[in-house]
Amino acid sequence: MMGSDPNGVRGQERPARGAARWRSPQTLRDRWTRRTVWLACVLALALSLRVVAQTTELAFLRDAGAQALDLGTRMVPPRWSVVPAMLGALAETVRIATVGTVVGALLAFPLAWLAARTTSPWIGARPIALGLLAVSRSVNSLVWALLLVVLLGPGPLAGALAIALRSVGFLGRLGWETIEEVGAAPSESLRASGASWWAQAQWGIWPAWAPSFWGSVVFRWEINLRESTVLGLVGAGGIGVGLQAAIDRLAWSEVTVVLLLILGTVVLAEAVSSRVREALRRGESPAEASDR
Amino acid sequence: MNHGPRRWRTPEAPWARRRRTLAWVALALLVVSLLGSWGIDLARVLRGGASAWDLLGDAARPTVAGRGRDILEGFAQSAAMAWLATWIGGTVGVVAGFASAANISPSALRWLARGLVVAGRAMHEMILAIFFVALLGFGPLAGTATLALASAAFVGKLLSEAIEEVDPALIEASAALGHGFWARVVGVVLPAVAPRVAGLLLYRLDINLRESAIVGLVGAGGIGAVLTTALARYEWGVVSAILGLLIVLVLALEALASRVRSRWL
Repeated sequence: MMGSDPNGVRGQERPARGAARWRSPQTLRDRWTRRTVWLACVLALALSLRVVAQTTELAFLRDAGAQALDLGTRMVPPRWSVVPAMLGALAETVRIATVGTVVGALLAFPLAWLAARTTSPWIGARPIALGLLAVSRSVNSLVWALLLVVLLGPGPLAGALAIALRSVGFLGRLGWETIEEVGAAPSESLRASGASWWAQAQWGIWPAWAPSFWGSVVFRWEINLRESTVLGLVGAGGIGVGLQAAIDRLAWSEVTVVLLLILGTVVLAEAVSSRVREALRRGESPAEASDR
Repeated sequence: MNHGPRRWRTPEAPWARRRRTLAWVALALLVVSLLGSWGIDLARVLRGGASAWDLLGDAARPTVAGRGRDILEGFAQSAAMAWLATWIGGTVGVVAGFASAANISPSALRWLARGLVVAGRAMHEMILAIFFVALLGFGPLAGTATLALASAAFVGKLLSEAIEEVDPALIEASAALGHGFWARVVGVVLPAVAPRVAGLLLYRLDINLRESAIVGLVGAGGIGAVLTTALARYEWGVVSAILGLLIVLVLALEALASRVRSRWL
C-alpha cells in the first residue's frame, strides 16, 4: 500500500523523458476499492470537522494564546514546598498500579485458559470468557473507577480494582492468543505419556507461555502506572487527588509540581519496564531480571 | 532404595530458586500490606451492598429514557473526535517519528522531537484534556486537540522504533546512489515502514475511540460528558445503555480493523 513497490526504489534505468512512471500492477477492482476507501475517509473527515465546528465557540478560540501565556506565568515558578505532601500520594499511585496489575493478572489466568481454543474445557466456555474479556477491554479504567467509587466508596481500593478490571481484558487476550500459538501438540504428547491434566498444563503450555506472560504483565504495569495518576480525578485515590485539589484551588504552581512528579515517575517506570522486558526477551527469569 | 528426588525438575542455578522465592514473597507481602493499609471498611462495603443491588437492578434495564438525542450527539462527537485526532495526530506523529529516528535524523532535531514525544506520552490524556479545556474552552475541539497530541506522541515513539529497525543496507545503498535527504526518506524509508504506519494508525483509532469516552469527564466533549451527567443523576439504566453501546462500537471497530489488517497489511 501507499506506493510501496520495491521496484520503484531500485530504479536501474532512468525512464525516458516523458515516459509514464512505472506503477505496480493492480486490477480495476483493486483500484476502485482503494478510491472508495479514500473517498469515504475524506468524507468522514469533512463530517467530523462539521460536528466539531458546530460546538466550538470562536470567542474562546481567539484568546487561546493569551490564555496559554497566562497559564504559563501562573505555573512558574513551581511551589516546591508541596513535594513532601505529594510524595505520599505518589507512592499510593504506585501501589494502586501494582496491586491492580497483580489482581488483574490473577484473574486473567483462568479466563485466558477458558478462551483459548486449544485449552477451553467445554463448548460454552470460550464465548463467555471472550465476552468478559471484551467487556473489560472496551471500558476505560477511569469509567470502571467511576462505577467502583459508587459501589465501594472513594479511595485507593476502588482505584486498584478499576485498574485490575481493565487489565484483565488486556492480559487475558494476549494470554489466549499465545496459548493458541503454543498449540496442542506438547500437551497431547504429554497426555499420551500419561501426564495428568495439571502436568499437561505445567509442562505442555506454561513454559512456552511464561516469557510472553511476564512481558505483558510488566508492560501492563507500566500502562497502569500512567492510568493510576489520573484515577484521583474521580476520587479513586493516588496523586490524581492532589492534582484535582490543586486545580480546584487554581493553584497552578502546585499543578506544575504534580506534573513534574508524574513525569519523573512515568519515565522511570518506562525505563524499568523496558529493561525487564529486554531481559525477558533474552530468556532470563523475571526474578533475575528484576534484580538489576 | 531410591531415595533421590521423586520428581524431575528443570536444572537451574542454585541461587535462581532462592531469588525466585524471595521475589514472590516480596510481592505477596506488598499486596497484603497494601490491602491492610487501605483499611477496607467492611461496614461501608455492607452498607454499599444494598445500594449495589438497587444499582445493578436499574443497570440491568438499559434505557435511553428521553436522553436518546444527547446520547446520539455524544457518540457522534466521540467518533468525530477520534477520527480527526487520528488523522491530525497521525500526520504529526509520522513527522515526529522520522525526526526522532536515530538512523536518519540529525541529533539536535532528534533530541527535540524525542523530548516532545516523551512529554506527550508521560501525561495521561485526562491531564492533557484539562489543559486544552483551559485553553480552547469546553467542547469537542479540546478533546480533539488532546487525542491528536496523544496520538502524535504514540505514533512518533513506535514509528521511530520501526524506522530504526529498517535494514541499514537500504539506507546505505540510497546514500551510495547519491540520494539527498528527501529522496532517502520518501523513496526508501517511507515505503519500508508504510505498512507499520497504517497498522499504528488503525490501532490508535481504536484507542482514540475508547479514550474519547473519558475526556468528557473534564469537559472535553464526546460521550463522556453524557456519561458523567447520567452518573451524577444516578440514572443507572442510561449509564448501562451508554456503556453497552460503547462496548459494541469498540468491538465493531476492532473487528473491522482486524479485517483491514488481514486484507491489506
